[in-house]
Amino acid sequence: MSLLAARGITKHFGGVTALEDVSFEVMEGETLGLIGPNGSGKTTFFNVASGLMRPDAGRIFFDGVELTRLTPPRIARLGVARTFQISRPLAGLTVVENLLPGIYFGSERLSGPEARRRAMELLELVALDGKAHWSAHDLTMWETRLLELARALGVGSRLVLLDEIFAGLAPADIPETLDLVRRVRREMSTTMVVVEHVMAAVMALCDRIVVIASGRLVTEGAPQEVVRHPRVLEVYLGSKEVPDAQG
Amino acid sequence: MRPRGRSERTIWLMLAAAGVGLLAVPFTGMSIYLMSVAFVVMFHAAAAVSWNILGGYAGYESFGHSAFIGVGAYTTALLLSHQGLSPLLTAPVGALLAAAVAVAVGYPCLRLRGPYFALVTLVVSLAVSVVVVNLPGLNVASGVFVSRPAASPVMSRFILYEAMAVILIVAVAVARAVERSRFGVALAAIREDEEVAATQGVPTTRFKLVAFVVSAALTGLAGGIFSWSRGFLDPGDMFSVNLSVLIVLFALFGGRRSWVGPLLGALVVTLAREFLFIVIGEDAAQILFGVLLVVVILFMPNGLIAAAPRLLRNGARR
Repeated sequence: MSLLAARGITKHFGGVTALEDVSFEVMEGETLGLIGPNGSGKTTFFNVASGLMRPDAGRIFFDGVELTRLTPPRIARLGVARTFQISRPLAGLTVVENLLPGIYFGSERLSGPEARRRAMELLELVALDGKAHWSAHDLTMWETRLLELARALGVGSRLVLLDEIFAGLAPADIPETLDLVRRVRREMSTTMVVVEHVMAAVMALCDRIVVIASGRLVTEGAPQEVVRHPRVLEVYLGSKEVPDAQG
Repeated sequence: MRPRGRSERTIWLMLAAAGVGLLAVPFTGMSIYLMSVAFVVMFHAAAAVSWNILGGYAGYESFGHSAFIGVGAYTTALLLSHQGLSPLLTAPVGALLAAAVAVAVGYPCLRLRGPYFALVTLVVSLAVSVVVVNLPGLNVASGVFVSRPAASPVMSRFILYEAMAVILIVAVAVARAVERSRFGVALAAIREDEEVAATQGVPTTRFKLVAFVVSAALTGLAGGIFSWSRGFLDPGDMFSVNLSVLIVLFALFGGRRSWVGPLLGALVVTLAREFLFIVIGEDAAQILFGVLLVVVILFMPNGLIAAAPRLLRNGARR
């Protein structure tokens, strides 16, 4: 059954087309990879799905509810959470305090010691519990990624939108991070949409992949099929033939 | 809300004891002069602690809070001079009206941030003062006479002191309760990154408005008692831009993370001003004072509370 359904999402910024009539579905329990060259509209899609941007046309449904009519807090309350590509820790707060707003006001709406306990559990899951009382300002870039992930899980674990959490990682750190994401998925039975450039991660994590380029859907399918698809090779590597108008 | 552990209860008890102490001080035979200085200090502190609920916790720095002082002040002054009602009864009415003004102006203003919010609140406060001064049938423009709380000057000062002390206690209690609540955590998230706060489920628009309204109501409450000390209200006196800026300075000077900062800031700055007025005269004092504030803000951007441990350490080393 589809948990998230995008129907004809279109978003322009002035003359620039960020998304053009993009439609796809995310099934309950699956991990969907959303890939495409830089500037293809992946983050714009996340911004639309999390309510930070209104699409010019099209609608997104989550479990039958139309997200594209809701404000970001209402969407969060449904259990749709996201991370930011460039980490945005609440720098003036401690690590554990970063998780509290989502736990208080997201889909679980816990309070008191229960909320604190939940925050510590999530920090443990991403191995940041040792720094719970550090200022978020003092975390390394990698740790702020982990914080982004834990914070998103505090908001809700029904659908998590991960925006390039592997970007800029040392190759040696990738297997560990893969394990972490898998563990999260297993323990919280989370449906995920993963925007990612690190193909090793995409291939290892995703059940299905959607490829977009210049705001348009190129293809979708199983990872092994998608990477051999001629149009995908073309958008990533270019083609020998003279491309059509889109090239 | 978080259930309070023993230590939390202990802190509230200590604060309650401090509050009782504050109320008891005049019974030790304070002079009229000391009572009136304490009155102004408490008025400034109450206004700064209230301002901080929006300006400090949520990071929306209003430069127009004298509008709420003015609304509170004129409400009690007019009800006293026209209806003979005591400000002790009518100060809450002033608070309600200040809250109503905050609802009306908050919704559009709170869409702006930083310098834009500062500027628009400043302009709105001027507009509010024009509206109040020109209210038909009330003759506010020609000034309002306010009768003293009691016939004897000592009794008057005593009543004013106690009334303002109660308001300061209320403001501190509300501010501290906000700090300890989920609402307070949400305001901090709004201050740090409003978009992130929204994606965490924080109803940012509503919470900012609530913070603004609470802040305005408490400020209006303080204004309602303040006007009672004046005898005669000059238009433009209560709504002064000077006062708006001063309130911001108290909070910046003290530190904005908790209610302690604005309280301390109001205490230190008000007493320093009073002292300088006496020692070197008003004009020279204003100049010296301005320079001092610039220096302080440059070198202690997070306020006295954050800088104090560092200053003490350096002092000890020498």
